[in-house]
Amino acid sequence: MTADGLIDLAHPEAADWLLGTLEPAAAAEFGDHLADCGDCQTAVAELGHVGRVLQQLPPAVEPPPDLAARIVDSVLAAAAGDRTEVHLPRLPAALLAPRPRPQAPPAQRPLPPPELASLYHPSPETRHRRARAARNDTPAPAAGAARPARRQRRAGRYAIAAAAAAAVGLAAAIAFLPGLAGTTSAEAPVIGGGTIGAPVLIVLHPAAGTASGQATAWHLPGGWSVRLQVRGLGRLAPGQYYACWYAGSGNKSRHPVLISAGTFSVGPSGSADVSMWTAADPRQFRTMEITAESPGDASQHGRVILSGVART
Amino acid sequence: MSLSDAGARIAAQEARLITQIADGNLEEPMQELCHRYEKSLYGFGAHILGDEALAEVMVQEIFQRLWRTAGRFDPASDSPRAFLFGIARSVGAEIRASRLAGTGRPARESPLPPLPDSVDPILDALAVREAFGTLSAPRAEVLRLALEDGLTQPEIAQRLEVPLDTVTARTLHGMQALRAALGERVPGERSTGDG
Repeated sequence: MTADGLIDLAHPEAADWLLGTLEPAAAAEFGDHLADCGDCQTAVAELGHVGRVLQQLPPAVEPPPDLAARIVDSVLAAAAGDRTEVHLPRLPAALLAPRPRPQAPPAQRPLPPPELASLYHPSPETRHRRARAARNDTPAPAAGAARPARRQRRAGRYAIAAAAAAAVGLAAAIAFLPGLAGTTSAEAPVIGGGTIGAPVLIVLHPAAGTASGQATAWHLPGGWSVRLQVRGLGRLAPGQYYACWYAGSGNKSRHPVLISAGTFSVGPSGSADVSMWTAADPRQFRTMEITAESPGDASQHGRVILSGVART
Repeated sequence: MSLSDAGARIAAQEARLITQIADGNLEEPMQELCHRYEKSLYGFGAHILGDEALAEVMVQEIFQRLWRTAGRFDPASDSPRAFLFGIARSVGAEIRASRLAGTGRPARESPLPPLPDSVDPILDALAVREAFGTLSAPRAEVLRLALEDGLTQPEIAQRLEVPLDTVTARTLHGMQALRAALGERVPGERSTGDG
C-alpha cells in the first residue's frame, strides 16, 4: 500500500471526483486540474477502484434476524441426525410414478440408506446420473400438456428412491429434483407443470423447555416434501413416537383441523433431521405442531411440544 | 497494528474455527462463522439469485456444506473467506442451474438476473460494505454524506462545521481503509490487480 500521508496532499475536488459528487462542469474542470497536479493523480490512482465500487454499491439486504440460529440448529440436527432412525410415511402416487428415463434408471440398483453425507458429495458417477436425470426431467414450457406419459413400473423401488430423495431434503431439492422454478416466495408455485416454488419456512418454538426446530416445505407435484429438523426433544417411552401435524385455522381439541405430516423418532441426542411427505398445504394449514404419540387411532392425543407458524 | 496485520489475524482465527468444525466441535465455531459471514453470503446470494428466499436457502446450504467439507480445509494454503465463497459459488451455481432446468425456458427468458462476467464486482461491493462497518465514525460519516446525500466536500464541511481539509483527510483515509479491505478480499483467488 502507498504510505499514508501522500494522499493528504490531494485537493478536496479529488475526493469529490472519486465519489462522484462533482457537477459535470466542475468534473470537467477537475479533469484539467488533474493533468497538472501530481498529488491529485496519486489519490485518483490509489483510490479510483474503491471509489467506483462505492459509487455502485447495491442496496443492502438483511438476512432474517433468526437465520444464524436456524443455520446452527440445522447443522447440529443434521450432525445428530446421521444416527437417527427415520420412519417415512407412505408416499403418494405422484412421487411413486417414475419420471421417464430412456436409460437404466438409478432405482434399478439397490440404493444406499438415505445418509446425507453421500448425497452431499455425490461420486462423479452419481453426479453424472443426476445431471442426466435433470435433463430428462426438464418439463415442456406448456404446463403438463407435453409431458410424456409416466410409466408405472417398479413402483416399489421408486418408493425407495423417492424416499431417499425426500430424505435428502435441501440437497436433493437443489441437485436432484427437476428445478426450483418459482421466482419469489410471494408467487404461487406452479402446480402440474413440474416446477417447484420457493420453500415455505416454519420455525418451531417450544411450549416449554429448550427444544427447538425448523421445517422447510417444498411444493412438489402431488403434495409437499417437508424437511424437519429438531433439537432437544426428550427420549420417549418404548413404543411411543413423535408426530408432526399441520393445523388449520380454528383448530381446537374438540374440533380438530389437523393433518398428519408423518412420524419420527429421535436419537439419544434428542435431535432428528427427517423428511416427510404430506398433502397438507402449509399456506392453508399454517401451524405445525409436534406431539408425542402412542399407537392408536392415528389422531392427536399428546400435548403440543413444539409449534410454529408458516411464513408466507 | 496495520490493516493487513488485522486481516491476517482474523483469517487465522477463522481458520481455527473451520478446523474445530472439522474436528466435530460444531456449535460455537458455527455460530461465530455464521455471525461473521451470514450478511455477506446472503447479500451475495440475493445478488446472483435475485430472490431473498432463495438466498436464505443458499446460505443454509453453504453452512451445511461447510460442516461436511471442513475436513478438506487446509489452513496452510486456504483462506477461510475464499473457502466459504468457493462453496457459495458452487451452491449458487447449482441453484441457478436447477432453476433454469426447471423452467424449460432458454436462459435469456430466465427469471434470474443475468450473471455478470465475473462475480468479482459483487464480492468487491460486499467487502467494501462490510469494511464500512469497521471505519471510525468520523470517516464513515463523511463518506455517507457524500454517497447517500451527494454532498461535496465543502458542503460536508459546512454541514459538520469542521475545516474542509479535515473533511477531505477523513474521506480519503476512509477510502484508503476500504481499499485495504478490497486488497484482502478472497486472497488466493485471481488477483484483483489493485492489491
